[in-house]
Amino acid sequence: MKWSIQNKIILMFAAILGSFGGTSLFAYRNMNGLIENSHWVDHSYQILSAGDRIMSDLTEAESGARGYALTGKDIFLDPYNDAVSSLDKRVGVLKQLVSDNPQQAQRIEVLRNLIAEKLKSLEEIIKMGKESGLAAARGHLAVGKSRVSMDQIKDTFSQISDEENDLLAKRTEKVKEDFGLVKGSLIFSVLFGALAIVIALVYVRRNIAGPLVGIAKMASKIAVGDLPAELPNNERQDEVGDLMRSFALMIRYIREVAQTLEQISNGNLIVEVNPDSDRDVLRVTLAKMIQYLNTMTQALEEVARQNLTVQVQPKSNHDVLGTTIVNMTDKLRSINVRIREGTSVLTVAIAQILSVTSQVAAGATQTSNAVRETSVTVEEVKQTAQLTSQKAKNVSETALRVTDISLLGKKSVEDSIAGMEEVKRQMESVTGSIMKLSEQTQAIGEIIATVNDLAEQSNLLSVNASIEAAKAGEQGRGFAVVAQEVKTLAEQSKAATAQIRSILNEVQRATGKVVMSAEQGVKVVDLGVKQVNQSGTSIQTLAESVMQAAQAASQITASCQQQLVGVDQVAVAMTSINQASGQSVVGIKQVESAAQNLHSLGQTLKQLVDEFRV
Amino acid sequence: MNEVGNKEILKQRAKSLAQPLATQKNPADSLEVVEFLLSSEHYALESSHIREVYPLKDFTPLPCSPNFVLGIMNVRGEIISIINLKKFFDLPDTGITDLNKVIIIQGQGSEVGVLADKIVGIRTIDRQSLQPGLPTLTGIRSEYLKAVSEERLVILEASKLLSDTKIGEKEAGRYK
Repeated sequence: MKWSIQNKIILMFAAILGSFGGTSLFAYRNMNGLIENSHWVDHSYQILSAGDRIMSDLTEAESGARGYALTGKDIFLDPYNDAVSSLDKRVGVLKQLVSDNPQQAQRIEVLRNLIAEKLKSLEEIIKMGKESGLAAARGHLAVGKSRVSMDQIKDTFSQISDEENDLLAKRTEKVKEDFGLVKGSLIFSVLFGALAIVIALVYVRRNIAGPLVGIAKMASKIAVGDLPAELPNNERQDEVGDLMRSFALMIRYIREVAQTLEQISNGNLIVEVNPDSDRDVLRVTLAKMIQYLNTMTQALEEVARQNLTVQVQPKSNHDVLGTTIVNMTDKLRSINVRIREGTSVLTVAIAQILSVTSQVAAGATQTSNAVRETSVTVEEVKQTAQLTSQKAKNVSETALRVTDISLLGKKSVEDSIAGMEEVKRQMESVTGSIMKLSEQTQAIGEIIATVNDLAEQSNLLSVNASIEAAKAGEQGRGFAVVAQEVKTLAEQSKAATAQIRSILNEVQRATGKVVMSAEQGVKVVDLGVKQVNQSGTSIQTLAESVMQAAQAASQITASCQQQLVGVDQVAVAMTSINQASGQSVVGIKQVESAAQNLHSLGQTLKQLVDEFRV
Repeated sequence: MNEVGNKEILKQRAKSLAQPLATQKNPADSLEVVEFLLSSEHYALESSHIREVYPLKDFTPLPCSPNFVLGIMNVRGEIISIINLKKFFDLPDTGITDLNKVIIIQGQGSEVGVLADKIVGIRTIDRQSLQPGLPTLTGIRSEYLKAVSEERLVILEASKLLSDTKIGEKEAGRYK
């Protein structure tokens, strides 16, 4: 039989149960003896008390009889009668009590005879007292015969009580002995049981509960994924040992699976997984997983070989990887198509960009040249500003001189007034002459109209002549030529009159203007006279104004200096712009080359995209 | 480039640009017309139907006459009625000045003056170059159309203009 924990525990409990059972049986038996012995002790006490009661009855009866004998009163006979009536019954009880002991029964028989004898003597006394008087009775008493029988009774009783007391002492001794035995056995069984329980507890604690707690801890660690190190080799042959070995196997199994998973997680899909059976769930699942991953990897490899026609069937709606690969290939396909379209658009756009950048480069070169010209112009402006500054200085100097001259001017004004009067007269004569000229041009116009009318009529005439010539047929041919010539002449004269008319119009317009001007001139001269007078005063104010102008000129000089500085800054800025435009030309050249690179890139892209099988 | 080469090139150019000389035409192949302007459009009438061209002077408007009849005029003691073709052809009216001319056409025993804005002159047209008509000239204009020349000169049929009955019918229709 295997020495298993189950058996051990059964054995242990059996031992404890056996010890308790034995002890209980022993105690039970001793108890029974004890109870019996105590019963016998009671029996002895009953016998003794019954004997005492008989003795007291006898004494009562005797004392009653003696009382009667002494007094002769019947009242003393009552206790006697009571004792006699009960005595027989009491002796019967006693006899029954000692029926188990033949020796005692024999003694009781003797006792009964003695009691009967005694009672008989007492009856004789009483009878003598009644018949022969009290003296005889007393005499009878004095004989002492009753005394003897009484002593015999007492002896017999003492024998009986001695016997019983003997028995009683023996029985009490026996009870004490039995009680001690029961007590000892109880103490022993309690101590033994306690010891056995303690031993069992210690054993369970050490050999079963301890290892089970360890295994439970390990199991809880494994439950949260914490695999302990290799378990020590266990030699135990019981269930705990089996449990520990099973745990070791389980940990090794989990570790193997975990290592396989780690390799898979490191991307190693050539790892071998051999399930022990169909029920080896983890390895079977691992093998399925590897197969699934291999299928997906092959599909991805096809995609990597630029084959987008690969078809992957997702296992279900929850097949994230499969669905993702399908989505990816779909997306890649659409992206590829779009890239293909995009690259063609790109190629065209780049070609356009290329042409545009070429144009821009040309434009930038032109801009650069323009900027250079502008900077030259700015340089000229600068020189002009310097000149202006110089001039302003001169102006301020001149202004001072003008003040002196203005005094001279006043005198000149007076001379001017006289000159003006002369001019007025001359102007009036000029106006008259021009009026006459205007009238004559009117007459010329009328003559020209007449000439024009004549030319028109000649033209019409020439047409009519041509018609007539045509009607005349072959004979009129020469005439037709003449008519043509007339027409030409008419047209020439018409043109000439048109020229003359235009010239005449201009002359008329001019004379009209001259007339107007002359009339205005006269008015202006009148005004002039007034104004020359005003000029006198004006010149005075002018002199003051010139002084102010001189100050203004000096301010202008300062402004010009600032302007010069400003123009210098502009020149510097233009130089910067010139450099910048030069750089931009260079930049645009680079852009152009970049665009060319882009063009070649677009071509490359197109080739790359075309390599995809969609 | 030497001078001889230049000359050669110039000669070739002159040859290619030169227009052929107008060959002496047979009078039967050519048509002589009088070209005139109506509201800056060029029209023409055959010279064979034309009696003469006369300046528009002292014409007398006729009351109660159709609107295309301008009036009557005294030409050397002869009374000629004047027709305004602009009204006929729905051309914009430019007004009457003393520069206006009247082309007097004759035929079938009647004479009618046609108002013209300006006389351009006599023109000789090759008959073969004439085309029967233009698609833009529709309605009443196509009725009086004789032909269209290469220079898009519209040559009117004078005999139709002369047929008084037609105009009368038209007018009768207009004043119904």
